[in-house]
Amino acid sequence: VSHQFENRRPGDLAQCPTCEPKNICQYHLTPTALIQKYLESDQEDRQMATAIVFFFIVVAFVMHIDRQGKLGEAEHRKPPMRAEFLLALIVPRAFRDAILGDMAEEFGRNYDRFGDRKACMLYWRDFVATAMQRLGCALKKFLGLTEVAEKLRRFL
Amino acid sequence: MLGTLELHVLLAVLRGAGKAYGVSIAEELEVRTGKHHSMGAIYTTLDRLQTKKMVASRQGEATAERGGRAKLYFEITAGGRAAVDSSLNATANLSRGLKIREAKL
Repeated sequence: VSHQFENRRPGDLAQCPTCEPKNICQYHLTPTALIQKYLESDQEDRQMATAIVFFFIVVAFVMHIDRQGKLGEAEHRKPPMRAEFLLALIVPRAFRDAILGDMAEEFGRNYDRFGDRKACMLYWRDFVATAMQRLGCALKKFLGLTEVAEKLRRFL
Repeated sequence: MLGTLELHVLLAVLRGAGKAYGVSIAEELEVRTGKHHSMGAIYTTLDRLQTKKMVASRQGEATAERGGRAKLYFEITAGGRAAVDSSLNATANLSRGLKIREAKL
């Protein structure tokens, strides 16, 4: 179904010719329309929407605390805790300290150059690349899927 | 015969002159080849080279910057040097006399 709007302006309720004039087209929700729909919805729907929004706010707050809350500048320069923990689980034991140390050092340099957010992103990127690398090695070693591992290695 | 990354890592270790470790090798590779390699890829290669006895490692100092974790310095062995030499010779012999870049008009 093609939904064309008539006389649509910013802030207007999104309306569709195939829908009831006063109703809001479900395929085209502007922010204003979304609020309008929220206010007009049943109590159950409204509670569900409130719960979802609240959940996302709590998640964002926890993530914010994880990086910034209670930490001083020196602590703040540390790599993301979760990524570091996961990395410690997947790297070979013989090189664990060296790899984690090297990545922490690199994180510090990226922190100075690009700031916290990009340094974290780069750390996570390296974590994913390392995880893929380890996955390739594991496939090669335990499953004998040499070709798949080789393709994965070349892809990386 | 060495793989491309193996050869590049060996050359980066050689450039480090006994002071090559993960970060310095990664930087050397990025600056000179223009390609970024993850630490996992570099250490997997170093592990392979160590198994082939082409590099040797020793523990270094721990610093606060590294979260108190010690560095692992790598040094090329005589076997590693021979492998690099043979690999570079093979490449030179194969490419000798070839016009790889087209002449400018």
